[in-house]
Amino acid sequence: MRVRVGYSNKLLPYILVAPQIVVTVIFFLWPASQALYQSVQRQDPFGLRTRFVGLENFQTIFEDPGYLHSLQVTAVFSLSVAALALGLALLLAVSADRVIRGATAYKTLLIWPYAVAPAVAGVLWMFLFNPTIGSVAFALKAMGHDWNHLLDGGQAMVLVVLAATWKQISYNFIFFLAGLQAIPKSLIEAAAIDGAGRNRRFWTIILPLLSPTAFFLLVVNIVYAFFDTFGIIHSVTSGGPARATEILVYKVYYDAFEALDLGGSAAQSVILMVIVITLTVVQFRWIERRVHY
Amino acid sequence: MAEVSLRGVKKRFGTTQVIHGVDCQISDGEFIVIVGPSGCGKSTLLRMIAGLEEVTEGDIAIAGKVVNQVEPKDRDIAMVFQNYALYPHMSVYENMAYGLKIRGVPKAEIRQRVDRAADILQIGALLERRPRQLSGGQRQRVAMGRAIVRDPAVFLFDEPLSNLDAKLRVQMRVEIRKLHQTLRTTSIYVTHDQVEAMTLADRLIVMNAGRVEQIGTPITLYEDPATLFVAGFLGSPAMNFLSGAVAADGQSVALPGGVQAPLATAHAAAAGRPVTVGIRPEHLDLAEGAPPTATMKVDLVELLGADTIVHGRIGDGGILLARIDGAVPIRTGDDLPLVLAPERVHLFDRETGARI
Repeated sequence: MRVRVGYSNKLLPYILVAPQIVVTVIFFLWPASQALYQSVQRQDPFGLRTRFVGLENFQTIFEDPGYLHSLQVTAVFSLSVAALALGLALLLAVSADRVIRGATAYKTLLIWPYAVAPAVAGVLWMFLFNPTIGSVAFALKAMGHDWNHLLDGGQAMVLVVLAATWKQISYNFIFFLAGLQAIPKSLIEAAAIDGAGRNRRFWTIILPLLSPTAFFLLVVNIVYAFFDTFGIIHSVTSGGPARATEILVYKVYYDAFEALDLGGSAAQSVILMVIVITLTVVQFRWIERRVHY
Repeated sequence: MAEVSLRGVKKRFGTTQVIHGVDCQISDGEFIVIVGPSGCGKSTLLRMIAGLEEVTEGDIAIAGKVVNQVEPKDRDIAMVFQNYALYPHMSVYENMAYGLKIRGVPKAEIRQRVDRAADILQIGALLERRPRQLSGGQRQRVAMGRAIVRDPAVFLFDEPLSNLDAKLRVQMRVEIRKLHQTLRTTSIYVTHDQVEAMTLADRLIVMNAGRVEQIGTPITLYEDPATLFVAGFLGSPAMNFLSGAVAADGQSVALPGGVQAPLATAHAAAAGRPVTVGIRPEHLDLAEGAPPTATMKVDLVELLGADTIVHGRIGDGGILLARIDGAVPIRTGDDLPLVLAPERVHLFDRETGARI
């Protein structure tokens, strides 16, 4: 039997959800609709004249080699960040799960980077690797590696991937550790008695049981690499050198506020919106239902 | 198949000693049940035999070989866990085949061995299912199947029936016993349920607070409990304990309410000593015309059909439970004349709890 719980006052439910609605409208629906509107307009650089151009902005974007290059940069960047952040976090979580003495201190230290703002994290890594004053760059040069991410696009990419990964590891670590601790000890013991060594237990028992967590984190990490890494890119490389680290979200910013192409930038935002909606649908429809024990 | 021997096995977690030296010889093909209240160290002892816990002191030998430093996988054992510990991401078949696959058994032979085990346990129809699609009883069978296919030297059971409902538990108990009769594999079974222990065991190990109280066949432990603990732990309803004193001639014991219960053998050495007297409820019989040993004031009657449980008192503080065959018309407030068979009266030392 289902008991229906309701409010006697007709107005009260609306008042209760109003704050959430207001926040959603102001910070999500309004900007999103503005982006949609702008994406079909073209403005002159001074914002004096605006005219409707239909889907012309989108057409321009997909014909622009700069945009396609940025798409490629984004793919390399986000896949590297997701793979590295997931792999390292899993390694750390498995180690932390085995630590008995000082486990709390170890875990706390690993969670710290998550509390650092992206821009601050970026500046931190920028200083470490600064070709003239950075201590890591100095050490690399001492070892015979010529480090200069201000000139070398590949090195710049490595640096932003490192910085972005470093920040995301903490988040992944927490989820992996929780996932590991949710695996009943007796399963591991049963596998040990069945004859599986440590490595085989990891690959055949632990990893499959962690896969729901891993898939969830994969989507979260890709979204992170796509969007939340703006601060890191901005403070470390500003998309350079020669656009080598210009990911899509940075190009949106650059085209709008530096190149003053509002229409084109808005069209790019719309494409990003479609990407994030797709990822969300994948997360909810596909992964959360299928990968489940 | 193998014999297992425990020699002075001790376990400490940090400074807390949980097992204070266990010695036991388990012969090949024997079904041993370790029983005791929770926290008595029985599971820890089993886990030490499995190799999941380190042995602090003493030796554990399987098939004559000391295995203290041997990994679980090399001990040739299989274990059934209380929560089944089935791999949730594998089918029943894969669960049972896992250990064989690791050991490099050829595919065709795995198929054959799994099918045979599934046949014995009647889970052939479930082989393609996932554990979460099974009921508790089916999961338990799969867990046992996983143990059987390996054909190990020793089976270890860690309270395997605790998560099942009462009816299923009785059924599985019988099946485990039958399985053992077919396979004759040395088995060590841990439980806190004394009925399970009594029905399954060739021999019982009764543990309490990290110590072995007594080792023996169920019927020996029932009839000749070595300690007060064993006497109280085995049997349902539990044994009656009364405070008494052995008479000066050692031929009888004085119970509350001025009752003098004769003893089967003279206890001259214990003459005059205060003792704890133990009598099982089923060994109290209605006098039915014979001269009664004691008269019980009835407080409560439970009619169970097959037998009648009578709660009552003799004198002050002499609370007694009597179990009488059949449905007997006894009413609350009755004075019930009872006889005590002298050979069924157990005397225990007040201080040490040891049987006199």
